[in-house]
Amino acid sequence: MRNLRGIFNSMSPAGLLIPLVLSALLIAQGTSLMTREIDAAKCGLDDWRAALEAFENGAVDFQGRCVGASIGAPGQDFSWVDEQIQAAEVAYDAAVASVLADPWKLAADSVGGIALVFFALFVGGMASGSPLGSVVAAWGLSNGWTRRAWARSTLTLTTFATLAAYVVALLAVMALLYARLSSLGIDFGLAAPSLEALHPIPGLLYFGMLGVLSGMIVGRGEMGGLVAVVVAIADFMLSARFGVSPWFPTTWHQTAVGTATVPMSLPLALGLAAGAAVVLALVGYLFFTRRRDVPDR
Amino acid sequence: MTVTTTSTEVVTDRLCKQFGKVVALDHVTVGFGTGATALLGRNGAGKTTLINLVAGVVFPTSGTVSIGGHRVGTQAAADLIARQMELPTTAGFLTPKRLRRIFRLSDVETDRLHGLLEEFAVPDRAHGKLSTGNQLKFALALAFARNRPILLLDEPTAGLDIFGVEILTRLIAERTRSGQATLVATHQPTLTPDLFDRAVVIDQGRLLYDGNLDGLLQLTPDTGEAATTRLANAMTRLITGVTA
Repeated sequence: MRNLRGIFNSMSPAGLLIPLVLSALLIAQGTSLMTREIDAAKCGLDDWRAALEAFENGAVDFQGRCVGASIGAPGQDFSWVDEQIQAAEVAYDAAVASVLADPWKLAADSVGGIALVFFALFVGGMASGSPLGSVVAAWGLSNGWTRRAWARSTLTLTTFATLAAYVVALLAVMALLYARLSSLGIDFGLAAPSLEALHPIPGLLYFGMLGVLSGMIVGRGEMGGLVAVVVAIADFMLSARFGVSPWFPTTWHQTAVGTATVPMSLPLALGLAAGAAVVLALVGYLFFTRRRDVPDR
Repeated sequence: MTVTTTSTEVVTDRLCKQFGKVVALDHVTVGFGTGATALLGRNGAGKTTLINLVAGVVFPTSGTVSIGGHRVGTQAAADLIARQMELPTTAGFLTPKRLRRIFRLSDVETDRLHGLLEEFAVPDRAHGKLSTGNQLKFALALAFARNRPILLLDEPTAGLDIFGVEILTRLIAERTRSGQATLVATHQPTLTPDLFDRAVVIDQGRLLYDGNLDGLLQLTPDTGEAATTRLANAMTRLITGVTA
C-alpha cells in the first residue's frame, strides 16, 4: 500500500485529467445510446397519438418530430392510425423489454466497450511511465525500494485503478439509466447484477497491462499512455483491414462486449483477453526487474 | 537498525557497463566500507555510472555488485543504502506535499529532514521553484535524513555555497565517527582531504587507483599548497600519467 501511494503521487494530476475527461465524455455518450431505441419508439408512439388527436379535430395533415401523416382530405377515414399506434406500442414495449432484460450487461458493455479502454491504457502508461520520467523511480530504487516491489506495485495499482474505475462508472451509468427510465414513466425493479456485467473486465485489464508495458519501455508518463493508445488503435485498424478475426486482441474485447461477431466462443474470447493481460503483466515485470535501466537525470 | 562492519561493505567484481558502443565502466573491481571514500575522476569518467550500479538503478553489462554481503537489488541490500539525488525539472509538479508523501514511504526520518532543511536554510516552497543550489541542499538533506549504513553522494559540492560545504563536511565526519560508510563522487575536490579515509580514481571507465588517500597524495610533491589543491593535482597527474 505504501508503494501504491508513492507511485500514485508521482503521477501528474494534469496527466490524469486526460483519461478521466475522455472517459467521462465517452460514458456520457454511451449512456444516451443505451436508451436510443426506447427514445425512438417513444417518439413514434407519441407522434401517432398526437396525429390521431389532430385528425379527430379535423386536421388533414400532421407533422411530428418523428412521424408525418396525411389523410388526403377532410372527412376521410383515418382508422388506420389506430393500427399504427398499436404497432408503435409494440415497438416501444419491445425496446423497453430489451433494456430491462439485463440492464447490467447493457451498462457494462457501454462502459467497458470503449470509454474505459482509454482510461486503462492511460492509467497503465502513467503508473509505470511517470515514476520513471520524473526520476521518482530512480530515487526510490536508490533509497530502499526494490525493483520487484516497484513492478508489483505498478501492476497492482493499474489493476486496482482499472477495476475501481469500472465499478464506479458501471454504478454511475446504472444510476443514469434508471433515472432516464423513471423520467419516461417506465416501471421497473432494481435488477441484481448479472455475471455478464463482468465480461469487459479481462479486456480492460489487457489494455491496462498494455499501458504498463508501454510506460516501462517509453519511460514517460502521458507518453506511455499515448503509445499504448496508438498500439491499440493500430490493432483495431489491422483487424478492420484484414477482416475481424480472432488473431487481434481488440477483437477479443469486442467479442466480449458484443460489438464484434467472429467465429469464436465468448469463453475463448474472455480467456484470450485474460491470458494476454497476464502475459503482458509478466513481460512488464520481467523487463523492469531484469533489464530496464532507470533514468536518473 | 544495528550497524555492523559487514553491513557497510560495498564490493564490485569486474564490473562493466556499456551504453550502446560507449563503455562507461570497464572491469572495475573495487570495494569500500566504513568511513568516507572519495570517488574521483573527470567528467564522464564513470563515477555516476558506478554509483547507479551500486544503487541498483542500472544493470551491469557484466560483473557483480555486493552490498553488505547481499546481492544488489535485493531488499536486504536496498535497506542498507541511501543516495543523494536531485529531482529534475520534469518533476516540477511534485509539490512539497506530494514529495513528503513519496519520501515518507521510504523511511525518511521526517524530524531529521526538517532539521537538516532548516540547517541548510532551504526555503519551504515547491521543489520546482527552488534555486539550483537549494535543490541540491534539499537532495542532500533528504539523503542524510535516511541515516542508512551506506550513503552515496554524487557531486555533492557542485553548486553548493560555502555554508553548505561546511554543513556537508560535518555530516560526513559524523557518519565516519558513527561507523557508517559514505562514498563521495566528485570531479573537483572541494571537500578537505582530511575527511576521507581512502580514494578511488577512475578514468574512461577504468580503475586507476584504489587505496588510502595518503598514497594518492604522494603522487604530487608537497609544496605547501592547500590540501584540496594538492589532491586535485594528484588526481590530474594520475589521470594524465605524469608522476612526480
